[in-house]
Amino acid sequence: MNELVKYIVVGLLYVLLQLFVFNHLTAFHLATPVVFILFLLMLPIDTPRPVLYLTAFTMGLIIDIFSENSVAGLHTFSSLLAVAFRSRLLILLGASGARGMDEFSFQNQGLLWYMAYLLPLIFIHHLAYFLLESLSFSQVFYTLFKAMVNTLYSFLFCYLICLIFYRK
Amino acid sequence: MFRLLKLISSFQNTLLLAFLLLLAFLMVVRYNQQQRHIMGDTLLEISGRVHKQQSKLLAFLRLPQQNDSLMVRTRELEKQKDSLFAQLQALRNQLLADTLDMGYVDSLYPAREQFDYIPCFAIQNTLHKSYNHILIDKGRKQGIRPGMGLVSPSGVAGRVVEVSDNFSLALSALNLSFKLSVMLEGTDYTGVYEWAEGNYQYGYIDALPLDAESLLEKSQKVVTSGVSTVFPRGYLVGTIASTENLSQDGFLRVKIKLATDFNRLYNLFAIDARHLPEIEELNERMNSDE
Repeated sequence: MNELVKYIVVGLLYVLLQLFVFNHLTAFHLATPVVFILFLLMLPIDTPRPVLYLTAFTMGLIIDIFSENSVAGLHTFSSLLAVAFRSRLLILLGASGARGMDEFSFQNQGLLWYMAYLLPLIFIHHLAYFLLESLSFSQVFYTLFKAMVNTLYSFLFCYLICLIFYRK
Repeated sequence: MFRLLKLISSFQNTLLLAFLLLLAFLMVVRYNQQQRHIMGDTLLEISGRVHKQQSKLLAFLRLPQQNDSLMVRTRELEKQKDSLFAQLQALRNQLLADTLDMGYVDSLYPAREQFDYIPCFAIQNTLHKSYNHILIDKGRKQGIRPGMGLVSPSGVAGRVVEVSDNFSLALSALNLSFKLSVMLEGTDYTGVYEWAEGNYQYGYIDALPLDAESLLEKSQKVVTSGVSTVFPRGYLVGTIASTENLSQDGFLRVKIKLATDFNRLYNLFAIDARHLPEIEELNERMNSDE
């Protein structure tokens, strides 16, 4: 119960930070850091998948509604998609599965591990986001470029947060 | 049947995921970029209140620049007022001279104003999306209606699309679905203003007739044509940035530099076209006749 309250408070903090700080850190009118997704990606490894999906859905929807002019459903869709690939990637990285479950923790991983884990998922989020936003493939290279720049920018902030808060 | 249920339950996570994804996708498609209807009145009101607090702070930091641009604008208006006054005086004198023995003249009132300007502030504004919007701190109670034009002191800014009691949401001129009929100042050539993603300082005019090419020159002014009846005729949109024709389909398409600085958008006026209801009524009557 205590844990649950803690996660709800942390989740709310992420939403508030995203809305009031990170949404305004746009660089060159091109890249905006998306940080709330870190909360979803850093949830305990044994979180049941339905809980994961419903959290991603709710969080994405809240961000969508209160972001100054995101379209309803954009963050919802893309964060769901990113979270859907989470467990696959964790197995691939050897963190979960038959063996790793007990001893693995998100804390105190190195930069390389964070890159291998966060970069692909954040990229999935951004790619889905920008493709859906333009709803066409006509400017697919520009969209790809935008997704990549945004991924790197978001990763920077996510890594900083990991360094500061996900450390024991 | 039981086996089927069991099969389904073993896929329940994937099914839940698929269902939620579908829901989100339908939201995107249904409530697309052009108008955020999902927000509705209540949510627009709530997020409006939140953003208003935030923008108060930002506005404070922006005060010096705002002040400068207002000073410039005031001086301009002052000049305009003086010249209009002079004209009026001249006309009045002439009329008095013409009708000397009639004594007092008081029929010289200007024609009824067709456009009213409602001052308002942009409390939220983005530049870097494909479909940018402006959130305004005035709403239905202050007389804002959907469809009203929005101008900044220096040029055209957008068009109101959604209104709640105290806030409203406008398409920014930096929105792929924002189109506006414009013309080259001093000529009869009209075209369509539109924005292409990327740079918030530049837009394009499309569909200019080819014979206007010889008239094009750099930094020539582009103004509203008044055809749309949302904006009065002659309101500044931007200046021509390059005379190069970017279109191949028998029309001219040139790049323009927008007059409004969207990076520092704060003071705005919503244009209340008072004659618009009359025109709409006429249109309706015509349609019902057909």
